[in-house]
Amino acid sequence: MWRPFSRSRFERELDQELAFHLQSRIDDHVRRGSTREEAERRARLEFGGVDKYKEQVRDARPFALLDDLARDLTYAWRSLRRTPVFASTAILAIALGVAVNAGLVTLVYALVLRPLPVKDPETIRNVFMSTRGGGSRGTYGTPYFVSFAEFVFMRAQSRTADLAAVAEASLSCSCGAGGQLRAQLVSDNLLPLIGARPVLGRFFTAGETSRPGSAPVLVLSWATWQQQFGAAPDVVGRIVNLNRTPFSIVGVADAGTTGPLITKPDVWLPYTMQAITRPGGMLIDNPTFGWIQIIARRRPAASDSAMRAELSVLGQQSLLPHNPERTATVTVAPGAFLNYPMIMQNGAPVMAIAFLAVSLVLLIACANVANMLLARGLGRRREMAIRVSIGAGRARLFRQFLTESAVIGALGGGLGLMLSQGAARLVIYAVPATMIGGHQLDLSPDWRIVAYTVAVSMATSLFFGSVPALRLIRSDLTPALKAEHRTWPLSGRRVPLQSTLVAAQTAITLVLLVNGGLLVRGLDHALRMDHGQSVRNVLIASFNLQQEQYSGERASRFLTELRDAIAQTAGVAGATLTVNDPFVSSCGMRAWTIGADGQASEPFEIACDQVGADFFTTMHVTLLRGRDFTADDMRRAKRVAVVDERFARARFEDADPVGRLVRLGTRPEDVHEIVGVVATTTELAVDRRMRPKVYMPISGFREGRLLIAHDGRTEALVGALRARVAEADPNLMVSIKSIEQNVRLALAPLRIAAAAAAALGLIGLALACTGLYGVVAFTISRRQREIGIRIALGADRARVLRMILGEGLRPVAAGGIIGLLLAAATGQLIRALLYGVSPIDPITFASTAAGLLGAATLAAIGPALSALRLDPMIALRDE
Amino acid sequence: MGDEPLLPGTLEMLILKAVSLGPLHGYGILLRIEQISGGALAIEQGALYPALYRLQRQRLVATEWGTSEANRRAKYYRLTTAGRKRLREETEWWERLVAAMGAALRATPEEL
Repeated sequence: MWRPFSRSRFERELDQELAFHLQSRIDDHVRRGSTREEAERRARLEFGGVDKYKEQVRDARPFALLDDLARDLTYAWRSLRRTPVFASTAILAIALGVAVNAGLVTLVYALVLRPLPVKDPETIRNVFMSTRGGGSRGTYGTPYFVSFAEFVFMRAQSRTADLAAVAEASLSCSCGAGGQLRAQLVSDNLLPLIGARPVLGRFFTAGETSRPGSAPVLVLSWATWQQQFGAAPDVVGRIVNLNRTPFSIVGVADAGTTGPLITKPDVWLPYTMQAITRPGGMLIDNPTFGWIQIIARRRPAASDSAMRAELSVLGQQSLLPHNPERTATVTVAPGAFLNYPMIMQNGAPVMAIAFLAVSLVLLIACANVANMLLARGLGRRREMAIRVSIGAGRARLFRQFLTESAVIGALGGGLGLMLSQGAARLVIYAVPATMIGGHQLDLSPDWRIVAYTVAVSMATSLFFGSVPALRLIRSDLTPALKAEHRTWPLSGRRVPLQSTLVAAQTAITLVLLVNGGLLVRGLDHALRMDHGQSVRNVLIASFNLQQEQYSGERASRFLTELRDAIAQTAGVAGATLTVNDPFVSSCGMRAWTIGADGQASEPFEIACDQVGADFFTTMHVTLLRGRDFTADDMRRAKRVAVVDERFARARFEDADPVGRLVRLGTRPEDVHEIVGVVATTTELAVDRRMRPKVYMPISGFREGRLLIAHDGRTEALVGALRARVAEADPNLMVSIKSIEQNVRLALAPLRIAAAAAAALGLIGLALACTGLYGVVAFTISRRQREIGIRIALGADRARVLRMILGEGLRPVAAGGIIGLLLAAATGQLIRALLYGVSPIDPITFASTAAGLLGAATLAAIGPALSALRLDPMIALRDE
Repeated sequence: MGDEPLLPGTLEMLILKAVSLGPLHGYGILLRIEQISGGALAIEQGALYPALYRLQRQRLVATEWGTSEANRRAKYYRLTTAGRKRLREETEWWERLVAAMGAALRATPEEL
């Protein structure tokens, strides 16, 4: 048993001192003629209650607080060990509540707050520039990326920070397995700026990154060097082909360097070699096209505000030569993976909802433990009364209670921190690899996460500890001392606090369960609803035409011939070309309709797609008016368009759109004639927008993919497809997937949200049922005498059972009603994820409420039945 | 320390006075207080000890273990410098209060 160092000595000396006093007094009385017995009696009477004064002395002594704390901790630990079932249930409840909370915080922290895995991350800044206004401008990736010209200007002019460039690309490689590499295109200063050191060779020189296309050199990552090149010491100087272009290896980075982005790269290239990743140099030569992310190292003398001020001016100046009509907005943020202003803004409501959900679970756990503590405290009132009567202040007792809660909180928090690691990893594991493959998210807890968890568990224990403690201490303890039986009224009422806590748990649990249920229904509906197009029996084949340096013309010839050949294969119902990956990638742009008077309308946002002949029949999109695209449209690159019904309704109402004109772009030649109207198709992406859609004949063949409708037998089809491609170009890589995979991918966020909400709801349900079980068991134990008498007097057992269950379930019913009302309100928050299922879907609400009531009945019926089985005579004698 | 005011007439002041005449053990302090206050203490004797520990915490008294007249081990209390200063202040304050109260109580209608 652990004891503070000075306590035993202090107690010994105090005992000695008081004994000396009493002995001296006795001696004096004896000396004055009293008998020994009389002297002892008088001395004790004159002295008063020894224990009471000892307690007062303990409170008065120096370091009393620290010593009390140690004593309280010892006491709390001992009393928890005496009741292991209570202790472990309470600790587990808090651990679950803390785990979901800390798990979410761990995820958010790793994504948007955690400093980058680079040297001295505290002076690393992300610089984001967005632009508004007229003129044309495009971005590849996020809207915060800058063009090559803009970056070069800002880097040369900045005095507050060293700016470095980074962009990502996927490359084919003549090395290793799979042949695909993740590359980071960087300026010469990026690697030194993040603290990288070459273990072999060197990094890039300023000369190698100054002129586009001049230096085909690369630096290997440590992992690639180890895995793809067998850690060969002579790797520097070797030539490898990237996207069919020979590059020479100039260096290998150290093992600790994994880049400043969420994905670890295999190789680094000069960003001036961008053209080989997209042939034609369309990005690097285009000053109005942003594709470079700026990573900055703040200089020692500068502040963030100075940096922001300077870079705002420089950003604006960088636009002058090519985008004079646009205004730049520059954001300087601490270096982290995903802290784009847009993500921080759009993510905030999602985070708020998620945080609300995990906080509700923590709240249930709190209410649960508060209830258990209250029940336990009621059973310990005699002990408390005794302690008060021997001089322990009520403040001391309160502190004692809180110490016990803090011990539960600390143990629960510690366990919760461990569980949160698993929870966060589980969520990441559920995210499809295509979304975050090769990520370097660091989910391990650093001091901030630990501090957060400690704060949450301590605040929690203060909350769940003080509510029952105040309630117990304020109540009158004297009857507890006098009474011989174990039932005392608490403030005259019948434990309403316990019922309130049960009702609160039920309400919150129902909110979580209903929302989880709604999400599951939404997911189900998203899979079953009419999408206006095929969601099964379609294969999607894509090719690395860009990496293989295909020209647009060559890509067009290849894809068109392949499509025509595949369309003739047995089992193929149709084949067509498209640019968008169905349900996964989309295209958006501004459009204008041209009136009969030749006047353009106000611009409006549309969704767009480039498709080949037979697209609508292959994808089972119903043609409502006009005609499908023909092979002739493709061959002659006709400026025609097919719009969907939503477009037709929104722009032309009931008039026939066929024959009308729509302008797609700023140039006069971007005017297309509408030749057909098709049914509206659904989008599945969680952040989908309901925009009118325009289909154009495919022109971006290098990004084209083949869609093949089949009859379900894919093996021969895949074989034939691969053979055809190999025959046409043995170097070309084809990747084939089913449209079902795309649907799953698009619905992955919803699936994760539904699973998480359901898991939270079930954790809440388990906690609430444990709480209810405890309360019913406790109530029955206090009323055993009454139940015994009723049964002894011949009461119908079924009626007694109904009475016990009825009383136990009354707070559940009350909480359930409140929960349903709250759930009806919170359902609105997740409307976008429900795919048309009503946020107050009666089936979900009714089945969830029934399920909860069933679980609660099961939780209550156990202790109720055991009370009935008890021999009434034992119950009576027990008093 | 010294932030807890000693109200005149409290046990603590009597203890300080008792030990100002020389170190005493707890029981000795009790006898001395009975002697200087000319009668028995109106409180239980045990109440002496919380008061002693409060004074000790304020560093107004210091303690050491010694041997009593009856050759028993006993804990002795003596006044510290801070304790002596506090006793003087308290005594002055008490005398001022007594003088003021006395004057107030002696006042006759003509003087008002």
